[in-house]
Amino acid sequence: MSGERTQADPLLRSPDTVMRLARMGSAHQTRLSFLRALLRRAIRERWQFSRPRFDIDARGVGTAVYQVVAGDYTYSLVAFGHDLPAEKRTDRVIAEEWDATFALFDGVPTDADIERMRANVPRQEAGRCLASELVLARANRSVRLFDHVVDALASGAQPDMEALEATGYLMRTTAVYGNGKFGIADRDRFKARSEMAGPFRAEMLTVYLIRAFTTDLAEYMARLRAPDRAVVLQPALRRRLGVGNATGLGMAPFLVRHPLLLHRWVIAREAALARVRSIEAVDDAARTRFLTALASGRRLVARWHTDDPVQAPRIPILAVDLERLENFVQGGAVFRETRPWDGIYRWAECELSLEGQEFIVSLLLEPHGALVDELAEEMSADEDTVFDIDGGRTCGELLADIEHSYAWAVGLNFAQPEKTGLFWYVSEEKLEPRLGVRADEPGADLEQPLAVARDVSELRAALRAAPTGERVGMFLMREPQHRHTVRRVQVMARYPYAEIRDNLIDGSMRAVDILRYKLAFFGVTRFDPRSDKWLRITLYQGAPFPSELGTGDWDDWIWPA
Amino acid sequence: MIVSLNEVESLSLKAARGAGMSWGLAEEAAHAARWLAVCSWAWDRSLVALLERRDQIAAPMLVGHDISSSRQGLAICPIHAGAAMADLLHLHESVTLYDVLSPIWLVPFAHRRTGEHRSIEVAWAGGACSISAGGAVSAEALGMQNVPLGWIRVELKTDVSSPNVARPLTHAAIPASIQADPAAWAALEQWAARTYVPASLQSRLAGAGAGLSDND
Repeated sequence: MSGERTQADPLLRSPDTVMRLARMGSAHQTRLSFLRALLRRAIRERWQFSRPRFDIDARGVGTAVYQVVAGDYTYSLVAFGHDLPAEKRTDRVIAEEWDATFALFDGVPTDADIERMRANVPRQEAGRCLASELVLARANRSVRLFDHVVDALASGAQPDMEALEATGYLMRTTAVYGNGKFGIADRDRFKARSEMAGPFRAEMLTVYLIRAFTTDLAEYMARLRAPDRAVVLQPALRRRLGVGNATGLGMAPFLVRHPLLLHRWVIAREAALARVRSIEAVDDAARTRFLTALASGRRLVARWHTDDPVQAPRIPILAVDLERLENFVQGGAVFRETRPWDGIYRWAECELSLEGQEFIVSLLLEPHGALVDELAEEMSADEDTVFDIDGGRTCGELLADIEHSYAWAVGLNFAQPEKTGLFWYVSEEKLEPRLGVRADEPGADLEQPLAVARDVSELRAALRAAPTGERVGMFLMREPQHRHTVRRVQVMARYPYAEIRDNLIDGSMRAVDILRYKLAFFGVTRFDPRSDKWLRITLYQGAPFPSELGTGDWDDWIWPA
Repeated sequence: MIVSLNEVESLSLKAARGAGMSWGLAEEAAHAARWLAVCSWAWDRSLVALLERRDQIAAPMLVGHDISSSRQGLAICPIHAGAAMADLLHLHESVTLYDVLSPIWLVPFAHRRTGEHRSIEVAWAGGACSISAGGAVSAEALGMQNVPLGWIRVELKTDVSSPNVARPLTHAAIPASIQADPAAWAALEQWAARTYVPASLQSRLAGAGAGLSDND
């Protein structure tokens, strides 16, 4: 159990270190990332994939069904291709049409199921689904790459590798909905199924199947165009295509609203790192694996491109960091010491940028699947277990909890305008979460409860005015407006990684840092911020396709040769 | 109409907030609504009625160990009373509440105090119900909306000789479908809409994320 690592463990990084936005915004995927854990399970349990239906025309319009038998249950991705005019293509949640729309169906859909879905799934938020659908999603083509790939394949040639790598996907999802949205199944209905126990498992499976659809679609359209000449994608090239995603603010409140889940994710990762750092001696196989991943990582970083003015300068620094790491380990001296991985980590902590340090966290876990992969099974949580407020605690004790867990917040002076420069709100238009500038825009009176640091400061002031021995139950009877904050403080008292330890309404707060952290847990390898509020990413780039899963253990697929 | 539990909880949260509840109490309302929806009870019409009457409902006040109305002649909001009761049951073995409107809403709050040898017994003039340590709710509990205004006594019973059953977090299996009354749902959406900020061109460009044209 990751609980074996207590706060007293010097190898376990503290929440004050890891729960800061700057470091969270430098996170990279690891072995524990959700889509890697999914594929490990699919390989281990020999999930059976098939494509029972593919009725698509030359424009990409039609219906396809991808099926997977995973243990006791069968899941079907039902895909609808549409003919989307270019001027209607937008990634924004306010879009109303897409190149393709999808639902993950629980079981094998009948023709009647598919017709019902056809009437609703292409309408996305404007339609209604049933609990037989687990996930609702949609995707748009990469205009750059999709046509190039079809053209190349139709002419009998492979697409240009550079073009492939530059984009990394044929289609990108613009929303992947789960857990009861728009009528689909609540996660509670299926989370007890072992293959669905991991976080976002249904969503990750959906995206994996969408990926197969995107390459099948391009190959198929090429073949329709030139049946005698068209070729299919060469497998190594095909694996360089993932599924893109445009991730915006919609994802950000999730981490704040699920404190126990966040704690579980973080402590699994940190416990994994601590385990690896405590290894006394490293054998040749582990060392080789590490160096191989490092070499691959350097190539990945060399190809990482973004125009974002904040992220772009960090990449060459990361490249230099990794070169320095290679020089540091190449001599082999560090491996002759005890706890060499810990030696490497401590060196990185002193010498490298945050991106470099977090990249090394990812590298360190790579050779040690046998030691850490089990932690991926401990990343689920039920927020219900921390919902109850302990009304018997005294105000003095609650105050002590705040001083202990929220020192980072109570020192802030919220009278300074910059400290409350932003506010989170939900827009009337498509019910999107948005960030507003308090001084410039209306709506701050409808602020969402994401201003944790400020709310904790206000609670603290109220508690300091209350009798030390007064019970929280009485206090809340008098001052019910602090209830949501009291709940958070009580969660933090037990689960120290539950809170992002930065002011989420500070004028300089970058929401992309929150988005990146969550996406790193998903298993994203390419982060391309387009502003401080959204980014383009790719999932599954490098991963084996369903038909390839049985051909090897693919453990290091995310580190291309 | 068929809805998901997530939609029940999400809408209830926003509707309660839109009607003026603090975020913490709105969270409680949402939790309780979800719980009642799993019981297939008409939480939606009841919540609409509560929100519409909010000016004629009082906050609770503590008098000794008892929860009473803070405004003479007005009944107590059951969400607020339920939250207060759940808090106080960490302190006292029993709590008596007076004049709680629609007291069925107290049941989900009482439920979460059960477990680990703790069961709950609820009594009122002319009736009683119970929740076992395992979270099983007696049938009378779902009749609690008919309890007239007056006293309700909620008592925690600890019996260490009873098996230490882990309280199931969902007290019952989720029904095949969750039904909602369309008129009530629409009314809740009206309340929820009060929490949304109308879009302006500026907010659309600045606040959300992706730009207006994403062809790449």
